[in-house]
Amino acid sequence: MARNRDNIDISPVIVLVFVACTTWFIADPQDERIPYASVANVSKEDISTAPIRTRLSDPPMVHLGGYDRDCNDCHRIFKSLDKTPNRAFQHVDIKLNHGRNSRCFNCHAKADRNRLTIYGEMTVSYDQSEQLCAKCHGTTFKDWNRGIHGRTMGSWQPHAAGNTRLKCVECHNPHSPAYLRMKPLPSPHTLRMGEPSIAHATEDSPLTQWILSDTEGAH
Amino acid sequence: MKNYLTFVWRCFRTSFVGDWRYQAWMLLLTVTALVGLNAYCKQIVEGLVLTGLSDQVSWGSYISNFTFLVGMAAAAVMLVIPVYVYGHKALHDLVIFGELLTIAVIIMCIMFVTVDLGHPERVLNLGRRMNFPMSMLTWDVVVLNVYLLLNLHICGYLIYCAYNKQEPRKALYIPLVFLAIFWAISIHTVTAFLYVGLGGRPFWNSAIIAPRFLASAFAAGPAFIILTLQVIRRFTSYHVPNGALDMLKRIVTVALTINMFLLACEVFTEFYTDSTHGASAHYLFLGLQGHNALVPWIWTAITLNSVALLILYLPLSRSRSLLNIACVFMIGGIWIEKGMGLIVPGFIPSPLGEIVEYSPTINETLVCLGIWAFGLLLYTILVRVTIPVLSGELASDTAVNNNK
Amino acid sequence: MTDSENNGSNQSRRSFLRSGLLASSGMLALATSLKPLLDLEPGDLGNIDSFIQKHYCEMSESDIEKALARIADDVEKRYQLRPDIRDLKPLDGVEFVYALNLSRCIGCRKCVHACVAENNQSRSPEIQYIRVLEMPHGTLDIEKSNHHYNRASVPADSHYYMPVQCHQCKNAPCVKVCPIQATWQQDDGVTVIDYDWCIGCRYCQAACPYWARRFNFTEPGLTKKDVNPNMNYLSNRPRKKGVIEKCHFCLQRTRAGKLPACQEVCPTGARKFGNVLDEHSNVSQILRTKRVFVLKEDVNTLPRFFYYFDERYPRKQASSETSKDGGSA
Repeated sequence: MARNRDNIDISPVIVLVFVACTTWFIADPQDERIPYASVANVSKEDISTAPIRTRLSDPPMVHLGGYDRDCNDCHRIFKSLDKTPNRAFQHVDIKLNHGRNSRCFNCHAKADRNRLTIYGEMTVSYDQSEQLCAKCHGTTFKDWNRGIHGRTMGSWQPHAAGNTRLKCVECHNPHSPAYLRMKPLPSPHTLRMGEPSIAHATEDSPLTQWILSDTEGAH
Repeated sequence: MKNYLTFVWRCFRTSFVGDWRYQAWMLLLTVTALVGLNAYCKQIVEGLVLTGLSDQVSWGSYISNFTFLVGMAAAAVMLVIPVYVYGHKALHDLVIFGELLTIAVIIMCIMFVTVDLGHPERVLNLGRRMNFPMSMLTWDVVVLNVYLLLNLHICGYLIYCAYNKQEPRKALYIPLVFLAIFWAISIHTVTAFLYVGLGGRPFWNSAIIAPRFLASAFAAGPAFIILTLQVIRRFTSYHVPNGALDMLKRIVTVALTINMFLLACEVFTEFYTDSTHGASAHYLFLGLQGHNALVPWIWTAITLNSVALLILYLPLSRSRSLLNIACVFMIGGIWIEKGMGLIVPGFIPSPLGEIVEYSPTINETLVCLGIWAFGLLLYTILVRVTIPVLSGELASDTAVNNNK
Repeated sequence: MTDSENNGSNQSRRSFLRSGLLASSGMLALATSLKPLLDLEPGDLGNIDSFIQKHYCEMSESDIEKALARIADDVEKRYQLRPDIRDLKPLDGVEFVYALNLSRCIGCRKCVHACVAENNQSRSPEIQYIRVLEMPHGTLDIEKSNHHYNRASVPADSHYYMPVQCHQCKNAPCVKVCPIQATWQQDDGVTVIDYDWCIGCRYCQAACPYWARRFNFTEPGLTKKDVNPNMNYLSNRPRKKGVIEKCHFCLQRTRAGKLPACQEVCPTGARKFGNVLDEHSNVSQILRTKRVFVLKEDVNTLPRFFYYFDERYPRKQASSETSKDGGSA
């Protein structure tokens, strides 16, 4: 273990470096910021499972002049016109936007306003309004019957006690049945995701270029 | 037994002895390793959130380094084959340095995998339940550990024999040397299969990855051994014949050529086909939708490799210093190509088409540096101890007396 | 001789001092480098019971009881509320399947957040099991999707929406690659994770073609007010850092006969969930009557999550009013 003559003893340096290390470890100056995103702002109502519409009672009731009245209470007095007028005098809040189905008496029973019309003299109660929808929307009604269309709540077991199957009018407004748009809940902000890329590849496929030229830009 | 303990003790003592350059080098490595250990302790406390990883890019620099190092570990075989299969004379006394490198590098591999785990302590559960043979990761655990044991045995046995000035018994190591040749190929193939077997990652799901791994391993590994031999030649009296370096140079040249060729094949397939599966390759080489963090890396790698190859093919490389430069370039180039160039782009874009980029954090880099420093420290000690034993300066007392 | 001996002993004493100093300064540096470990809290590395605990599949009834009690204590300590934690087994004759009607999905992300409320995910950093992709019409290539849309209202014209979550594949790559069998498939088709067994290697994350798996990079940011006390061992019990989690079809609900949270909250009824072994179930009828497809069929993972479109009017006719009025006719 003889040391060479030209050897320089660096043990003081070694000790110094180790001591410097110790100081550095104890002081621990390095501090890296971790880019956590703030917690997504979602309220209980945002994720409520309640139906988006409430259905009417059977028969539908209105509160007028201190009393609950059904439809016939008025319509018994006021005779209806034979044809749907171009401009409504009553029920002006209703905007009918149901495609070609643009006549009141396509759905409402003329003789008994507490009921809905199916065919000729045949009527159904407001409780069975889906029978009315089924007149035109046969395939959808079939799907609904099988549990394929519409919302089910409760159990995945068909016919389990406590299952609720929502009716057509609990999602669709019969006068304007297209499903409403809504504001989406907050977009994802996962760890180290950074700023989401804005520009998605511009499409130059024939389909997007010529047929869907009205595509909105992302965002 | 006593003799063996004396041997271990003497080796331990020897590892601290050296001139000031040696001590400074060891100090540098020790300090870096400690800094790495410190960084890893922070990671244990905070979790892997201290790395730049995300759910989108779930493997990063740790696994990249692991992949590269598995290649280095397999590289010893490029010295073993010429010596034991073809009876190459000049390399004969140098094989051991390759095998020592393997030991150090596999330990580094194991460390890199360990620091990548969310629950390293649960690895012990592998003894209780293991998804073998379905999971390629269990294969990797098995082959890496067996390869480590093989090399520990071969090196330990040969060095201990030299210490006792005995002729090693061929039956005790030659069969294992041949097993190790096969095993070296297997560790890198299995590591490639880790990635290749994933159908959801088209960038990796290519049969060429395993051959590419081997080719790059057989370039970077021997290149590192060339550098080691140059250091040994410079600073010790151990004899490193020119023939050995020439042989290694030839091996490196061929391996790097094949590696570049395979890379070109991959690039052609991805870009000529121009299918949507090429998105990761696009991201890597050209950038995707304005995201191009890896583009400078891969082009640096290609440049380094090309320059290295050029030097190797030109008569220039007869100059030892240029050969060294070529080796350094090659190691750097392959490190990028297999690390940032192979692991990270496999995750970008994510399987759902989201682009989240990855860059290692400082803490993560310190851990990586720490492991590298620890591995180099280990290798330096192994080489430092082996040289006096092989050259007969360090021998058991009985062996010395007998020789007298 | 004596001179040199003296000299030698002096030298050896000095060398002894020197090496002592070197060694102790080195040890000091080593010891202080471990300083961050002082911040470890007692429960951080998991307690010894969870460490020596057996794999879920090897646990006896009493082992599971013990584990459940331990977890309940742990949850109580962390969140000051006593959970109702159970270990629900797969039901006989049940195989769960999900079907999602892409014609109906409007991309409102209610499923994403209902899932988070149900399953005790980390709020910050954010972990969500469901991603809703906004897809331009004319493509099924999810690389053209937008994950981050933030519009005033959805659905947007000329787009459709594709929520993606764990597909509970029959030929699951994540199960195949897990080195330690911490994730496996149960008889009702749900791939579960034993959070006390996962080593956090994230190989499953690399293997999943649907990006369904999430990793706890740090201790989950879950506060007491957000904890759902209805818990199940293999599903929504709180996780710790360093383990993988993912959608499990709300086992704590579905194995008790209820519907998954994402299904129940869906305002359009686009999500359908049921038992495919029951021929009268909604999913069986969908698989029979609709033109269903699976995502990335080419990777052959055989998902239990199906998508389909059905006939409907183009979105352009959708009302541009946004729903807030709820209201009556």
